[in-house]
Amino acid sequence: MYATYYDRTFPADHDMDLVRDRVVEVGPSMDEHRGLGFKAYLIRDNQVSSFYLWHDPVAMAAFFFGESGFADLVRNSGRPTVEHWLGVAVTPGGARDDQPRAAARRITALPHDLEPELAALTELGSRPDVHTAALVADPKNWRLLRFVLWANEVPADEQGERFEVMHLSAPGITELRGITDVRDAV
Amino acid sequence: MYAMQYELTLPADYDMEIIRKRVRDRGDRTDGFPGLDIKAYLIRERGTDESPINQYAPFYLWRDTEGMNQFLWGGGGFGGIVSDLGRPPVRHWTGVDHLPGPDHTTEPVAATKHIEPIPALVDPTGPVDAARERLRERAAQPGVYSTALAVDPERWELVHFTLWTENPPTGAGTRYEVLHLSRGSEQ
Repeated sequence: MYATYYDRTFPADHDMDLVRDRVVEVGPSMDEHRGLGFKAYLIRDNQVSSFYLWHDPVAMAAFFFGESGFADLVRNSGRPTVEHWLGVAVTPGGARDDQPRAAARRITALPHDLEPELAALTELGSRPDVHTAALVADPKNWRLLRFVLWANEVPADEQGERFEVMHLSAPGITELRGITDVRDAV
Repeated sequence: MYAMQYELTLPADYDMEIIRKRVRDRGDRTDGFPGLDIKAYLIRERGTDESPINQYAPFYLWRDTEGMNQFLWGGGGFGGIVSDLGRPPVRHWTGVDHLPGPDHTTEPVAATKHIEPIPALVDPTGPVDAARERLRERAAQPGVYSTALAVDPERWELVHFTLWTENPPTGAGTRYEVLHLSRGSEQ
């Protein structure tokens, strides 16, 4: 499992409805993308971003370095910096069957002991208003990112950046696996 | 496939025999490691092959992220590095391809790493395709054990990594001595 994220900030006077219209148009193009766990099309103020979780690294490389997919975005709006994160753990929540409307992205220093974070993730998975929650890590800068898709809104006590989810393409969301899945299978 | 490397630069007067002994004693711990394709135990020695520094810099190619997870924070080996030498930044790249060379049955003695920026703003497809072509050419070169291509999409850099069974040609990139090569579990 691997995560990628990029964002693009528009001028303050940009009509963001144009961006929303564009997502309505192009969002479904990823709905059946092979190798993709999910892609969340996110917006907050004048920034749009995309958070992906991939279960197949070959498909991920093909998307970012191949002829179609990311190349279309580069041709249309320039090449963003793409953050890439190693997937650590993922869990479905009680709202897996709903369309998530909000998301939160929290970045912290990577702790030496991951167990409290894994326990917190399991806790999120037991909530009725969580669609999906995931932990991904960056060993280059030793950071941990927690990404949570919420059914309606992000609870007040959740830390980090908050987004509205414009669209979710989730063709392979049940294929995503992390370390807790491996451990539980042993 | 994912590529990964951390670089521990050591003091100029450091006795590199300590690292050699460490690899002799422990290098086989990653032989057959789950999810691993290869781990090359690499060093650079001050004054050898034009290296200005002493460095321990193992390079990994992984088949899956579960193995990386286990190694980095699942109690699978990296903890030993962190407690003995500190926690270094671990660079990681998205793999494009890894090809065997003509000398795939001989033990590699050297490695080269060449990092090449993808020009700003351009569509990465062209540069990645061109690099893939150069990868195929290198895989046919005598003295090549295997050669790999990977991309860092954050910095938009290509990395070419090659294992050699003989002295690498000049211009192939930063040179390392291979102390041990671990091959992971079979698929």
